[in-house]
Amino acid sequence: MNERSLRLLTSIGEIGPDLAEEAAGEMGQKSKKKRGRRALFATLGSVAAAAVLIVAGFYLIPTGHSGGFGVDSQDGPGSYVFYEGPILPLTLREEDGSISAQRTVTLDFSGWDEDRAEMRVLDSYVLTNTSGEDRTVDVLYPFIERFYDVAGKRPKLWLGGQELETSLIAGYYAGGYEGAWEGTIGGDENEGSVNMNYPDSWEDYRDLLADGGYFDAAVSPYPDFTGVTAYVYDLYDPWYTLAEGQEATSPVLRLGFDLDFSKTRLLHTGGFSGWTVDQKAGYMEYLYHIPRATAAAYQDDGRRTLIAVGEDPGEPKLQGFTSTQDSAQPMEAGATVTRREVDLEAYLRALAQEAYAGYDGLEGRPDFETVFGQFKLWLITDGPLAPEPRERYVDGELRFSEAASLDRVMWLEAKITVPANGSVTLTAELTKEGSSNPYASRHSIAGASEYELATRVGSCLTFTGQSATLEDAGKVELVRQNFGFDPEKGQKTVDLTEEIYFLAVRKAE
Amino acid sequence: MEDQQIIELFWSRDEAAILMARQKYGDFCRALSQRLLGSTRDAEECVSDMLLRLWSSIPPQRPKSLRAYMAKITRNLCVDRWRSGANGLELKELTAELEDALPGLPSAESEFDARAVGEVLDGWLRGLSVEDRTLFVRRYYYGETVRSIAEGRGVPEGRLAQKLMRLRASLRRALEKEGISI
Repeated sequence: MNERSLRLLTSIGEIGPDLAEEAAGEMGQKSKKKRGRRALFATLGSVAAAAVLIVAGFYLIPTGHSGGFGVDSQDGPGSYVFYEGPILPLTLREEDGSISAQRTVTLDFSGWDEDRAEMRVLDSYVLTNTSGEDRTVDVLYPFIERFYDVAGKRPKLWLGGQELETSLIAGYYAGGYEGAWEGTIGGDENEGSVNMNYPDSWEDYRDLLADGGYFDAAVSPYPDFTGVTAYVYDLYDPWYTLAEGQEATSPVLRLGFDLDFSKTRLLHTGGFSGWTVDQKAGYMEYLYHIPRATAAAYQDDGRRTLIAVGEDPGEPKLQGFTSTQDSAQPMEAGATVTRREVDLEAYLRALAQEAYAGYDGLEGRPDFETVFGQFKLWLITDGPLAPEPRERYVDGELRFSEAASLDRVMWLEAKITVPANGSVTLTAELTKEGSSNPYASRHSIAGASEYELATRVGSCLTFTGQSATLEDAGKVELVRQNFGFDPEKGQKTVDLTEEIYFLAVRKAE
Repeated sequence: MEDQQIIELFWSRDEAAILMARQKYGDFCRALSQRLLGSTRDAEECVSDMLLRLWSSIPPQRPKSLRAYMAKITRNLCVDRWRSGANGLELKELTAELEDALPGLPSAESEFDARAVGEVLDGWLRGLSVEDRTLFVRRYYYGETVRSIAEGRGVPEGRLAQKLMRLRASLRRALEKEGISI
């Protein structure tokens, strides 16, 4: 059992009684699709209470959020906590001056509801070959998603009425990292990389895709750790003995290694409840809570695994303490420790395969080699095997789920032929979830869903024109937009000339 | 009998309050306990303990929702019982799933602030759609299986499993956004 998970599980027990009652009310209802109204932030007060932390006299609220209900008149895309990114345009793997494109995008809200906030998109391109020879090109349709969500969200490409077989190319994590208090008022002094700093504006994606380097990296070979020796330490059967009069409120083993961090890195597979590192002294230590009763009490075999990569760090030092508090007393304690040498590639592959098998088996998920490759890339780019690991990953945990939940740009690739002096119509069909925000702010409306459409970002195609058509079906009210739609006046199709378009909607009353 | 009437019985120290509370929500709490601990005997004992706690906590408490209050006590008792040796296969499963929602591993010096976590959790839940919120609460508060929720909603189990994965990642982001250590 992970002590931290248990803390979180316990904290979930502290949610408001109205939330517990709401869910209890739904339980027992059989085969009846629940379609409740979105909370619409009538409870903004408590949301704000959660968002506002008072530390040393500072009110720490996310910057860019005024906490008010109003939206100013600024005609720009909104600022959202849960940002889904723009719909991106088709591109070609190799620029081809003889191919031009006329784009027509249909934004279809006919199946939209508040709970899902998913808009159906038909992103259609008439590709014209102006040369006198047939042109076979590799088309790339980009979309922004996480591996976890690809199943069910993977767009479909159609050429005429025929669905194309596509291969998936995955880019690396599209965001960065930040300190715990960055992005908050009064928190600029605490820089760092302990938290994710996900892309939160279309410009982030524009910059990411600007020079083609991101795509080039996506099609480069993944790291290969074959031949790299690692030392695996399995720890199990922990025990402790108390001296007379001694009490262990939270018995813990401290497992320490003397390390040269430039030569050895420690990884682990989870289950530790804390760690300390002293790079100057060359010492790293993990906290390993010993079940207070028996291992069975926690439904936990007590096994923990550490993996040393690089120079052999030798045997760990084990020290028992009655708790993790400052007042903790040393106590007699230990665990069985076995050590073996493994090939790092094979070892990680086995771990990753186990985690991948835990994925839901829906059609359309990324193949194992892509997910595993990106996991390895994460390990050496930002993770615990990076030259300068992000603070977030210094403890060395092999976070397979992290690699699977990162925002990234992916492409569907297909080979098509455009006949000489002729045209073909290629259509991408997808659903796009709206960006949303639990906070009202100057640039967004709590409870609204916003969608963005980029016209040129990351594309090498020459566009002869672009247009968008709204199919609102009376389901949504347009809250703010720069498309120029005016459904009441019948203005549902508009030409697109700007680089970015946005459309915020909420349920029509 | 209405919840508030039962609560008034507690306040007037009328032992019929226990009987009424048990009649009205005893099965609900027993089912919750059974799900979390997987043992009929433990579930029965938890419900008995819960009623005692209920008696000793009202007054001074005056819960707005008696069912939610009883469920909360039951849940806490289940977790305590699990920690002290009872079986708890579903609790083990729940804690394993929630690892996805944990923010970065804190240093040993970081302090866990349960109240701050609770506040962020509450705010995060209120920002979700009703459908997502009740899904999360049914799974991680009441320990209902994904299959059972899927059957109740008439949707594929896999879709809900995917949605829960996504919600856990979203919760992790929310916790990290607020600089929470766990």
